[in-house]
Amino acid sequence: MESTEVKIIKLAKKGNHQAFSDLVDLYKSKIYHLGYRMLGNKQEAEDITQETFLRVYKSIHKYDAKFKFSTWIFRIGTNLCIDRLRKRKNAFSLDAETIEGEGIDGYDILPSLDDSPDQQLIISETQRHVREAIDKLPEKYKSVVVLRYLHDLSLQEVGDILNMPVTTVKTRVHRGREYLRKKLEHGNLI
Amino acid sequence: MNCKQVNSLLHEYLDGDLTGVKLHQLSHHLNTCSNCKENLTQLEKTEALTRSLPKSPVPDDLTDKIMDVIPMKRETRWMRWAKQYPALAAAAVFVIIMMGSLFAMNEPESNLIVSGSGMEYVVIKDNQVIVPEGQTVNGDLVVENGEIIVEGTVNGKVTLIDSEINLLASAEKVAGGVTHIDQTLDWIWYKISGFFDFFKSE
Repeated sequence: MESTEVKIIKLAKKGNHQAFSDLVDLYKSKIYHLGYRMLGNKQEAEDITQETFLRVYKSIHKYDAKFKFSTWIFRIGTNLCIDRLRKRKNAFSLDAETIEGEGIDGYDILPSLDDSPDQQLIISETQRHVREAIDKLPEKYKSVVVLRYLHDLSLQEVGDILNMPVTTVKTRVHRGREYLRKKLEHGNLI
Repeated sequence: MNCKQVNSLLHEYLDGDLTGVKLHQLSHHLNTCSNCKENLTQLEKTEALTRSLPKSPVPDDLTDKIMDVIPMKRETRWMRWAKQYPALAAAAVFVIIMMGSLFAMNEPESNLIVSGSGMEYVVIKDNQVIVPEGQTVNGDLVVENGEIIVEGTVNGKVTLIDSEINLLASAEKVAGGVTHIDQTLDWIWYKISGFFDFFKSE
């Protein structure tokens, strides 16, 4: 598996179209889910997946095979998601007064979870609460929580992706976990 | 150890980082403090719920959408298919060429084509090939899409493909005989047998 991936990456580096397409198939769902959890809706998840692969295409010559490809592509994807979240936050803070006046925070007016009605039926109330809790996580905890729990990556890998020491990752995981616990407790889920 | 200190130990424990004395201290505290024990249970449930969140289905056309924005020389669907099934692709190319040549052959406005070894003695006028009186063609003639008028003599065969022959005197003037080919299949057969004759004569 690993060697197949290495071969594909080498061919993709040389500009082989089929190899690049194979690379897309290997990683598209991972990046899509990353985008979906980070941004909370399908349209932006798709956008971010396209953007990520476009960046991969443009800078694949800079990719150093000594490092894991997954770390590299996750870093590109996570950074793009974080950029979007920050832009969104800045856009909201322009009319922060009205938001504060009504007693809701900026995260309450994020695009809602946009599953079709039939899908909503089978998504349990519990899952909805968990998704909302993740959606509302502050950005710096969100990226850590999404990578750690939804992509099942080790603390070390999360550190490599976010380019920060493992101790920082741990602190953020702790805070994020505590934040989620409070939200879920509030919803009487735990 | 107070409960606030214990809370940070709980997180270390959940990260799998707690060993030795600290682990022992935590376990001791949890046995005596139901509040912290409840905290641990809640954190464990939080982790489990977060991990169990199902992944939403990836759109079917995601690969295409991604490849659309990649400014790479695009391989067409047909190219990809051809690489997957090379034998079928070769067969398809053969069929297309055959069909193409059939249509080309049946085209009504085809031009006159004359070939053969006795060419230098004939006169060509519009779509007519004329062997003038007193001339002798020492070889074969093939006429396509036209008419041949034999006033002289042909010492070889005359092959007519979708063509007419006009013998002004008698058929004996064509020593090798006259062959008519009017149908496409005949034509193919003629070409194929000619191809093998070529090898025989070699």
